[in-house]
Formats: sequence, C-alpha cells, structure tokens
Amino acid sequence: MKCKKCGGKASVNMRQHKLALCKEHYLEWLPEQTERFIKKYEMFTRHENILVAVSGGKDSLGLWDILVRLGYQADGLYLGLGIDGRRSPLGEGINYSHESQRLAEKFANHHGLKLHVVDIEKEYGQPIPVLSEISHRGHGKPCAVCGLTKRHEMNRIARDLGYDVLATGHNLDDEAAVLFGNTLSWSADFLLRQSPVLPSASGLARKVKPLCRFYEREMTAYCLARGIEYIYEECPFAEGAQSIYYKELLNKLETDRPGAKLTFYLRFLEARKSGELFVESHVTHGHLHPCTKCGQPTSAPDLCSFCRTIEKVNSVPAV
Amino acid sequence: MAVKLVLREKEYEVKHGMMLLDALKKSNIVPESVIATREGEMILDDEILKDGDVVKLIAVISGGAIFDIRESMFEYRISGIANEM
Repeated sequence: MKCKKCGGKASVNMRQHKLALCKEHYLEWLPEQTERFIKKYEMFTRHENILVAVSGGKDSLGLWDILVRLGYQADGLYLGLGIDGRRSPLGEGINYSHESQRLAEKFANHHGLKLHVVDIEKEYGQPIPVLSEISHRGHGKPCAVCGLTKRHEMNRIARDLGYDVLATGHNLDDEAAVLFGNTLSWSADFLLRQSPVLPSASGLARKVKPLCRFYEREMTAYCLARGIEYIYEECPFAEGAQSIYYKELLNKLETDRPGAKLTFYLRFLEARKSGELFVESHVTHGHLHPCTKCGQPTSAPDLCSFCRTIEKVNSVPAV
Repeated sequence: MAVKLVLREKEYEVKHGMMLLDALKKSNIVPESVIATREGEMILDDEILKDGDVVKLIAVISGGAIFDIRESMFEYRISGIANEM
C-alpha cells in the first residue's frame, strides 16, 4: 500500500477515509485534522490556557504532544490514583499508578512542559481502591469512585488554577462505546449531553475532547510513529469492563464495514444538533447549587457526591 | 520455520506467504483491534508475511474502568447542552 501524498510505503491505513499515509505524512496529517476539529467545534483558541488531563496512556500523551506541536498553551494534570496492586484483590506488584506517573513525568520533562501532580491518597487520606471499599460505591469495583474522583479533581484543579479549558484524550472509540451503551438503554438525558464540547457553567470548567474523531488505532499509530512511550498495560480493574466489550463489538463491525464507527458517531452528532432524535423539552434539567463543603456545583441538596463519599470514608475508623 | 504473531503474552503461528489480514483472521484476532509491527516498523493488512517473520501486535483498546459508560458522562446536570453544538 502506498502513501497517498508521496507514493512511498504507507505505514497507516485509514479505511474509513480511504487514506493510506507514510509515517512522515501521517505525523503531519493528524495534528492538521486535530486543528480542524478544534476550530469546527470551537473548543478553544491560542490565547486560552489549556489543562490536559494526562493519564500516561496513549490518548492523553498523544493529545498533549499534538497541542504543543500546534502551538497551544497546554499544561498537564496527572492524578495519582494509588492503583498499584498493593491492596488490590487482583494481585501484587502491578504498579500501574507508579508506572503511569513515571511516563507522564518523563514526557513532561523531555518536552519542558508543566505537569501538575495531585496524589489522591495525600489529598483525601486513602487511595482509590480503599475509598471505594469504604464508601461501598460501585458494586465491588473502584471504577465508580475513580470516575467520580477524577471528574471532581479535574474540575477543581482547572477552576482553582484559572485554566480556561480542560482537555481530555477521549477518542472516537471511547465516544462510540459510550454512545452505543446509552443507545442500548435509550438514555435520552445522557445522549443529549454527549458532545465534543461541554461548555463552562457556574463552577464548571469547559471540557473538550479534541481527539473525538480519531480512532483509537490512529492514536496508537501516532504514539508509535512519534516514539511516545505510554503505559501499555491496562488498569488492573479494567478487565471485563462493559465499555471494552462494546469497543470489541464495534471493532468487529468496523472490520466488516469500514467507517461504521465514524458514521455512527458523526450521524449521532448531526441528528442531535438538528433535534431529529429527541425533543429537548422532555429532558428534566436539574437545579445546580454549590456544595456546602467544596463549593463545586451539585444537584444534591447539600454535599456533592464526592464530598459525601469522602465524609463516609472519614466516618469509618481506619483499619 | 513459520510466521509468529505475538499479542501480549500469547503467540500464534501461521504459514508464510499469507497476507497479514488473513493471518489475523485465521488467528481469530480482530484486525481493527491491533496494530502490527515488524522489526519496530508498522506494517499494513496487505503485507505478505515471510518465513521467520515475528510480528508484534499492539492492542489498541484502552479505557474500561476509566470510561465506563455512565461514568464517562459529566455527573452534573446542566441545561442547554444540547443546543451548544
């Protein structure tokens, strides 16, 4: 297969675009497309300060690399979750968090970038698996508490440090898997909130997903071609996750029908924008007010879900 | 000698002379879920595999816990999001 631009040997083939590119031209094409999506969805401008949520994985490190290459002002935020296998029922010595932090810091140091590191155990007394265990949220898996904590902390840091926008590395496979799950259950309120941009609101930072139109495969290829070292091992708690199952299903479909995932997502965005799918008045809008403890917006009457979780954890005597 | 496909800790053997795409399908590996490399370079589905080749497959799927369905949504209820696109 030959590169469409130079005729040399192609390294990446994107069947959904009928486009094959060599390594050199792929490394030009992907940032160009990212720039196009940033503008199309009005994510941010070059005058704004961006905080990139960095996990040490391919998507977030790839995103940070692209934004910096494009000339945006982008700092990183790494959240130390304390998922190391130490207290995990799944085994000893996984060192997932340590390794992902090492890679995020290595990337930042190599490129001379600013990385904020927040250690959840230092901030809240316990690592994620223990917070989950004590709070009894998430049916035996820490994923619910992990997601809740990450959203809370990312917003807190973006707000407290005065960033204009919070960027995450969600790719098209992430978006398509979420869409697929919410479509299976026809969760109208969730579907109406899925978007490349979540605008800022009182106490909430603007959230953007500049990679939302790239396949996961394309981000892996980008990191390989750029020589970005990322954490390859999965979070030990990800095994058996529903989103991975949906991604596998969608990849089977994509193998037989190139472009199926992209069409699924883009057609959804179009249909939602045009009001074709749902009548918005059917969606109940909750009232937001500040949490009495941390001040972040919540629909709960006093404490937000996160502060309630921490309060519950703190009320249990340490083992 | 045959061709070896390596995906994480698993190894698969296929005959040389096959196209990579056919080798993946024969090994029940979904082609969309991996990127193939040989001697550190990415190779594409139409590559003909040669005797003695060792093809390292890099799994591309990530997320799971991080992006679990409802958890990936912003927890707060904000009005008017639907019209922001």
